[in-house]
Amino acid sequence: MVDELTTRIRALAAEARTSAAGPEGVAALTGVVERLDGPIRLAISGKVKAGKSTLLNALIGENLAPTDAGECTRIVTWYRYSDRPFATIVPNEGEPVETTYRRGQDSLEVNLDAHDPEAIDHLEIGWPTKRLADVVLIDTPGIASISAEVSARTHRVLSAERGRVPIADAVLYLLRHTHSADLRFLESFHDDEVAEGTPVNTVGVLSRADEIGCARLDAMEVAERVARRYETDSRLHRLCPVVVPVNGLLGHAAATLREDEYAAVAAVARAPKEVIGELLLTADRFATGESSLVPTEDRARLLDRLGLFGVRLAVELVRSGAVETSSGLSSQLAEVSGLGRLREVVLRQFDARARILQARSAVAALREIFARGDCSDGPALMRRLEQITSGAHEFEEVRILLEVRSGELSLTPDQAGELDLLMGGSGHEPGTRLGLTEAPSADRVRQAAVDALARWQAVERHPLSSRATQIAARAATRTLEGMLAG
Amino acid sequence: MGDGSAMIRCTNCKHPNQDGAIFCANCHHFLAWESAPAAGGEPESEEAPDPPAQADPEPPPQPRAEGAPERSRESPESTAPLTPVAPTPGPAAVRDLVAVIDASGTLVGSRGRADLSRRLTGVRTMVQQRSVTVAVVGEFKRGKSTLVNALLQTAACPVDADIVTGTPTLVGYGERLHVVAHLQKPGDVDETTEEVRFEDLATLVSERSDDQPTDVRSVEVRVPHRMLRSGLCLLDTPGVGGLESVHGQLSLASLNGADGVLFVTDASQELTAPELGYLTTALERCPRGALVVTKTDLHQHWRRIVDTNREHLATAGIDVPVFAVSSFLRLRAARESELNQESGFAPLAEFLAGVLEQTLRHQAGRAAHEVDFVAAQLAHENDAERVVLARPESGGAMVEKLDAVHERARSLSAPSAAWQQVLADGIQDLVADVEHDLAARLRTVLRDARDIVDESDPKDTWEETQAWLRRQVAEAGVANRDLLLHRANQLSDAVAEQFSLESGSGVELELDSVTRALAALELPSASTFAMPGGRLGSVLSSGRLAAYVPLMALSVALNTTLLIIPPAALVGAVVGRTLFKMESKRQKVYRQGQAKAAAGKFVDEVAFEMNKDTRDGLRRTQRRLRDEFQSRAGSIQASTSAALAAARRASQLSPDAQAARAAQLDQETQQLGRIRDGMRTLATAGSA
Repeated sequence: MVDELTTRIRALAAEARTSAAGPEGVAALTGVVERLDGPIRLAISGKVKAGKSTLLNALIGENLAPTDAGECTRIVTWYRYSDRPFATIVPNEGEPVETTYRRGQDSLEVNLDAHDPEAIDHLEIGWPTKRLADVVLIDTPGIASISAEVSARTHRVLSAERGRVPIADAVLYLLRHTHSADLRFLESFHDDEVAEGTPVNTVGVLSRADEIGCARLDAMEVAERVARRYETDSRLHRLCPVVVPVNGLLGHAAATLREDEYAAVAAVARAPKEVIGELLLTADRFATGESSLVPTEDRARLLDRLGLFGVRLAVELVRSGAVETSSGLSSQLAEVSGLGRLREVVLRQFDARARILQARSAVAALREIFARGDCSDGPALMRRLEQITSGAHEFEEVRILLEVRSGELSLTPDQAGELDLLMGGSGHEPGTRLGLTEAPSADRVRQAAVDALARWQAVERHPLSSRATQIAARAATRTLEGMLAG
Repeated sequence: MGDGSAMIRCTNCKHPNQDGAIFCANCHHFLAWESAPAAGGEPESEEAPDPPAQADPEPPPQPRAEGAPERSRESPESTAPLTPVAPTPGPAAVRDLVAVIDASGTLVGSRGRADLSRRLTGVRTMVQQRSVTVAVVGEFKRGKSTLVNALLQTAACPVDADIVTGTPTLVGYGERLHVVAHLQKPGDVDETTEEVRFEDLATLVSERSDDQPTDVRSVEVRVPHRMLRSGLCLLDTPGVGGLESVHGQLSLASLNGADGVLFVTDASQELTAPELGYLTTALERCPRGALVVTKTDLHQHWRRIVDTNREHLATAGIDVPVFAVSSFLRLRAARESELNQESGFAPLAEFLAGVLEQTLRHQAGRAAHEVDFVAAQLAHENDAERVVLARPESGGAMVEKLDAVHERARSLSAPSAAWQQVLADGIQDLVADVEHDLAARLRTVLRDARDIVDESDPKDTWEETQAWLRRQVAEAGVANRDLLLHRANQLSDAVAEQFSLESGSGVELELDSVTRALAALELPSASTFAMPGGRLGSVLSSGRLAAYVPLMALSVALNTTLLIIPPAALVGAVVGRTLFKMESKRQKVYRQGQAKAAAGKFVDEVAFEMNKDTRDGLRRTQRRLRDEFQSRAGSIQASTSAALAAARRASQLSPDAQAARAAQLDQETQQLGRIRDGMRTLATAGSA
């Protein structure tokens, strides 16, 4: 369905290119097509010290993002897949320039030459890693500490201002553990303009999740509980309906766990339980305490890599015999870190929707091009574009989803939940849309769809339903009909 | 004294502590009560050792067995304690003060002056009830409640990884564990209290997930904890969420009533700019503060964070101690006491002891003013009698003079007294000024709010505007309360001035023969006011209290008016955000109108509530000031009439009886002189 839509838009763009007046129009149209065919663009956003760079490194699996102060953190940086590593400076004005870089201890040090950071629109880093094959990551500067100019740039990455094409397709918003039962929550949440991510394309990431539970062994479960509570919070729900707890540090360490690190963990784990307890009581004791199990500097390094929670967990896993090899430990830690789940949420659950959002961005871009008169037969092309969009049920679904999540429709909570699923809120598979668990049989799906159809038809016809609700119900019946027909 | 042998042994863990310690360095138990009995079973008799810290030794107070019930717990026979113990200056001052109060009480009782003995009883209660409040403030989830628990090594404050504290919780001493909730039902002016079960505490103070404002304004937890017996009260506050937030403003305001403040941050990151700003502002209100960096057990690089924080403080020009602590270790130390050292709590306890000592000394100074007032009243009577006895021939003239003074004293307590006028006028002016100030502030806020609404579409911006509005209103409210406080203090000063002016400079007496300890006889009031440490400390404190109560009400105003907001908030809740930018201009104008009306209504509600509170608070203040001065005037009048009577009586005594009486009076006068000297020393120390 989405592919069909994409194909039609792409065809229209190709056709328009033939009638494009001048190279600028051609370039713009080429950009539209490239955007449509490219991987999802995922922006990472959040306050300073929320753990953005750590999460980014963990997602890439390499130390690319600078995790400390420096000019680079003030510049929006794109990380995309490439066969060969490169770094390109894209200035506000003029052509992109490739530049040199140096692989530092913990980050990539890009040579900005004589470029004024203020004059740089963004940096592009290409890196040959399969983790970037299906996603472009956009690192945005933390907003609380930077100049208005940079802040504006971050804003532009995330928002689709005045019908302009948004630069990012989806947004990861990093929340640290904050709280409130009243508007204070939004006060702190609204401390920057990130909220421009809409509820259909923002995923909340509860970062530094291990700290919430004080690095105890059940810390991630506590974080999970907190995340669930956030999801049910109606106000937060409007901003990011999905919240995933992630321990970026651990995820990164898991992805890059070395054999000697495993050996160190194993050496500690072999000690008697009381000794381990004493040693892991505090970070200080582990890093600097007297112990002959592992050299002090190795312990300090291990702690830096895994964090206290990670060390405790790893030692426990090895000690209890749950894992016996470094690869086993690596995969266990990765699972606990929540990073895998985040990737899954973003790429599976959001993939289909992101395609639609991409398509929508493309439509917006085409509309702008046609209206500007870059093509000789703009009005005719515009009509064709309208035909495509007006018939696109996918756009309608996204629109309804947005309405449901922003609480605009007067529905009962049950109805809202059902409609959310039906509009593809958790994924576009028929079973998921109907809220069926596991892998349901075709009959079961069919029966559920028929039942739901009757329900939503009733809602649509109900004399007391508001107009908006009627429209939403009609969209639901159409989705269900499509499902039954397909 | 003060040499190496001066140690206080903790009765809990037998740890020998440095001379002058308030809390045990090992287990942080409160030591002062222990040191009292050790100072000598039948204590503070004439030969009792002088308090070491006092350069100017106080007169040995009259021993009164029931004066300090705590002492009787220890066997009085232990005349040779394990170590020679010096009482600590802070609590010792309090203990001595109580003894002096009791001594003066005996004198007052013998004169049958009920008014003065009432006054003394009040002072005694205040001194013994001593409470030193240390507020624990900071951002969300920095471990404030855990810090309080760790300090006491009990579970006084509920803690949870997820839920946060939503209600201020005061943890103080009580003979038994009990919890009292202070409630304010919607529409009520005064708070009611209600005892609740300890098990319900967690639900009571945890922040609720729904939007309903609760009736619970604050919670008091009373714990029979040895550390808290010192009078220390720890105030656990909700996270401030930045200086900008409403809660930040309110908890800032509540710092006016605190004696010390612990600003809590954790070792996961250095101080942020908002935190630093908050700390700066907090210290302006409560200068005795410290920065506490928690969770050092979780973070390897906490030393770097602490150093960075120190640098930040230095750059900002803030000079407060920084303590790095691990509540986790301290709580474990309840079982394994060797962890105490590692937890880093010892310096923090020392700091608290310092706050305690200073505050108690200050309170003692305040009480000393009162005792001095009483002593001066008695001395006045004595002196009149002594002059007549010393020079019987001038008796008639003396009586005449005293008559005149008596007349003046009587006019002081009349309703037409000028100080009454100053007070009544002052309160009226105050109400008008404070209300005008609030109106002006709110008008500015409202005008800005209207501009903001005009510049944007409420559909997109209402939520932010609303948050902004609430912040601004809270800020205006707090500034207005500060003004109220300031002006109320000014007023009580003005009344005090008028009062002492009216009560006159006293009677000139020829005292050649009565030399010692008496340079001039003056009317007691003037001396009370002229003492160091500000005037009328106790009155001021009651004034502060009266003005402090409405502040709590401000939070009510903000909470209840929130209920009014939602219909208007719906305007904003219909947020299509970026996708739906295409709405007609007419709709936008309509929304703007709605938003402005909502903002206006909100501001109106707040102004209404706050003005009511201002009036209530000031009425209370007025009543308190009036009663206070009235009773002072009464005492002065009683003193002058007693002096008059004494002078008459003395002139009619036989020569033998006169001699005996003179000797008795001399002795009493000496005692009074010692009391007054001691009180002045205390008052000076308290104001330092």
